[in-house]
Amino acid sequence: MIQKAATRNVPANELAAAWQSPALPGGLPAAAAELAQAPGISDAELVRRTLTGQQDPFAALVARYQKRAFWIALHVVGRVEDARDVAQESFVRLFRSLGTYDFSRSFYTWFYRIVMNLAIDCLRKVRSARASSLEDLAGSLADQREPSGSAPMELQEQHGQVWAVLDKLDAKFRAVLVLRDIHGLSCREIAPILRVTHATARWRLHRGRQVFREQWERLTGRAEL
Amino acid sequence: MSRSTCRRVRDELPWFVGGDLPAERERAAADHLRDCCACRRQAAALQQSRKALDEAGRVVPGGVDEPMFTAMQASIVAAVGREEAGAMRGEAGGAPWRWAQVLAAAAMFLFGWWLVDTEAVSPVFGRPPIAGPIGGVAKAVPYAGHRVELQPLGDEWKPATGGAENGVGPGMMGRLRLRTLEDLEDPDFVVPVAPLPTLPTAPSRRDH
Repeated sequence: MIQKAATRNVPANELAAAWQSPALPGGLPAAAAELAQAPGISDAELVRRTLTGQQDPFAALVARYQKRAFWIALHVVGRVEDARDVAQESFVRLFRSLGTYDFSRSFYTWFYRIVMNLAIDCLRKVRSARASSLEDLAGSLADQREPSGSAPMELQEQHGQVWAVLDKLDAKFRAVLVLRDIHGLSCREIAPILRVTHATARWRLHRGRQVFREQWERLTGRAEL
Repeated sequence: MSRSTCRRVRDELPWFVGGDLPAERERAAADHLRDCCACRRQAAALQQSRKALDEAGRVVPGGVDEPMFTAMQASIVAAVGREEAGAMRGEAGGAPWRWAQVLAAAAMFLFGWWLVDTEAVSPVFGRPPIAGPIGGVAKAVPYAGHRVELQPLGDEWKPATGGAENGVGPGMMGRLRLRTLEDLEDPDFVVPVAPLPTLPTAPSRRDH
């Protein structure tokens, strides 16, 4: 187990401090930054080194995957704060379960599965807790997703409508659409992430696109073709 | 255009617009769309909604920038460090607590064993007799009736005391039989009968 390997003969307070120093201004240790950018060091190698008790390799994994984790979480849950929490929790879960990593499989598939599971859980919690109307939701999403640049108002409104439609979709369709149409993963990659068969992933993509189009046309007032 | 072709192509359109069809079927669908206006409209609608989704996915919300990611990275590393330190503290401090749990479980087991052991005399459930001579004859009197034991009926069943069966009748639905442990036939063992209290006689009406 990772905990046993990583904590051998190291006092707890020293260990906690070791994770945060010496650090670059960005908060990432210099050795970790080098590891993160080294093209010859695979994710599996970083996992292997982390399992021997080193901290820098895990910080390098964080540097490699934190943005991807955040964006996937954001596109599934739809809120920046929730996405940040999901990304952070994903890395904590990853750290806890590093000892169970199967080195014969792809690391990012495994990690994306953790992120997607947490994001879908978060989405379901948010949906069950939310009492506001769809109009309020569309407005809040549009506000949150206001681009930093000066995008035209029409475009901003369209983006708000897209997220309103996505929010009406079932979580399983939303997950496939986000991974395929926004993040560009293939159905063969999506299937193990969602723990479904390839055929199921393809069917969900098919159905998700159909439902999204129907809801999109309904919301934007376009005539049914 | 045949209806069956339209139906087949329309069914494949959600995959077609995303480039998820095999090359051969994609070519066939493209050929059909070139000639079929209704299917082309369907494909255009799907393509449009997909494009809107793709564009919305590229939007960067306000507040999401490099400083945010830097802060997020630091908080992730700190959270993992806390997790690691907590796990180690748990390991270090957990051992004595685990031993205490094991000892408590063992003590409870031994106490339970001692309670159910019928051979041992239990001061908790023993029935102290009311000792002392009553009328100068009795030795002792059971506190709460006779001590009995239930045993299943069977061919090989014999009274444990070796004496005659003192069964007081069939037990639960005839499957069990009551057997006294104390020998009630023992002449020295006398159950005292308390004398009835004398009640004052009520005056009759004739006395008035």
